[in-house]
Amino acid sequence: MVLPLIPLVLIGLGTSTGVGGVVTGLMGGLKMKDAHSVAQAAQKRYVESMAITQDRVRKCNERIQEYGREQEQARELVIKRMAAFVERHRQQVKQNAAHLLDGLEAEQRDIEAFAGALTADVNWIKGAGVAALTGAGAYAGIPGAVTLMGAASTGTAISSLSGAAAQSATMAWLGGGSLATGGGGVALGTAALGVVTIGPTMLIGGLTLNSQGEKAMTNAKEHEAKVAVAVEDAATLRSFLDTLDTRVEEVSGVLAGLVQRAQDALASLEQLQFDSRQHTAEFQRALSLTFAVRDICGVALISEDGQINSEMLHLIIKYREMK
Amino acid sequence: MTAAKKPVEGVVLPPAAKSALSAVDALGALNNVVDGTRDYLRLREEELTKRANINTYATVEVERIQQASSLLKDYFAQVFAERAKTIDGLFRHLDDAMAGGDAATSAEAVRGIVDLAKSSPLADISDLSQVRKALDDPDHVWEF
Repeated sequence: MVLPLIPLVLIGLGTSTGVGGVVTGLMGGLKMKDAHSVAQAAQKRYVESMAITQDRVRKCNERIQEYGREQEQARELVIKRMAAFVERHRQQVKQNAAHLLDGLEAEQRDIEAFAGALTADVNWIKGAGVAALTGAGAYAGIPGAVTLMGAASTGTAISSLSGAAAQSATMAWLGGGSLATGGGGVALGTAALGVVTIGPTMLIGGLTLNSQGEKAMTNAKEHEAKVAVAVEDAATLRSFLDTLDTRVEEVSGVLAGLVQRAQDALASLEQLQFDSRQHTAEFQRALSLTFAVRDICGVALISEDGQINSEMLHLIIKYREMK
Repeated sequence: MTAAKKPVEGVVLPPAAKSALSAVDALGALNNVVDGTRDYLRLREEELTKRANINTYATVEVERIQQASSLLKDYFAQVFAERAKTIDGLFRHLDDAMAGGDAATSAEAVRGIVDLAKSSPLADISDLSQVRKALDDPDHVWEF
């Protein structure tokens, strides 16, 4: 038996485009899945980095609060003690309100979240429309061409037939001829037309899905890049906070050194039967160290505005008023 | 007249009306497949280029941030080490002056300590994003 060529070609064409559509569609689906995994891994890295940074900010905050308590203690031990000494000797005292360090306030700026695997910039409606049109075109166009050019198994031009006769003759032609002439008949013709119609539709659908996969992967890579930069920014900020700790240690050390010397000077002064004419040098020494303690308590850790800005975080040094 | 010679009788059918769904539709379907494939290949090429650019941006930017961070870290380590040495020296100076009863030198040492502590090395670079911008600017002059 000679295999009918026309339905075989049609089925082959439909199957190959259909398989192509399935494969490209699967590839598109896999790309979207990969894109989702890339974005998810980046997001995890971002969240971990932010957690480490927040922990670092918390530690820095604790150190600054501790320094605030050191300031408070310094004012109690030196400034108030000196003020009390002055008051005891019938002098007027005016103590200005003191602002003590109270920690670090953090304001986080999150990076833009991953938009997701499905993006709006792939024209889904156009893709679906073209797929439908391609299928409809094949479904309508092939019988149309057969009607114009083919001949029924009786030898009559199909174009001269009409109605059910024309339709049957067309389908039989697509089936490789009527069953009587050794072809596949109407049934095979109908099946061949069905296969050749659905194949291109699937291919166009698969290509649309694959385009979506490509775009999703680009978006995921963009998000990954943003996270990589944000993570490095966070590392820089943590390194800056290490430096801020060093600065706190420096000021804290200076304050402790001055407080110790001021206390010694005050103790010496308090032991005296104070006479302002005789003990000017002792008084001046204690006063000079007291002023130094006061000034150090008012020293800005960073700049006057007490702010640290990075791409991700805005940190503000907080103060409280001493009661 | 014999039956064989009898002319065929009946209604003569007109040629089938031209189908609204013409052969052009089949060509259109083929064109759609070809265009769809071409569009996809073009988009794929564009997306691959975009991804390569994104990758280059991230690599360059991350490296730049790391360099800036390392530069700042080294700079501050050096600055704070020098300041610590100066502060220690001033305190020693103060102790000696107080022990010797030299009020003027004591006051001078105290002023030196306070002035040094007041000047924060962090003041000019608390805006890290500005530091990054300055690092990206080849014309920026760093004054130390």
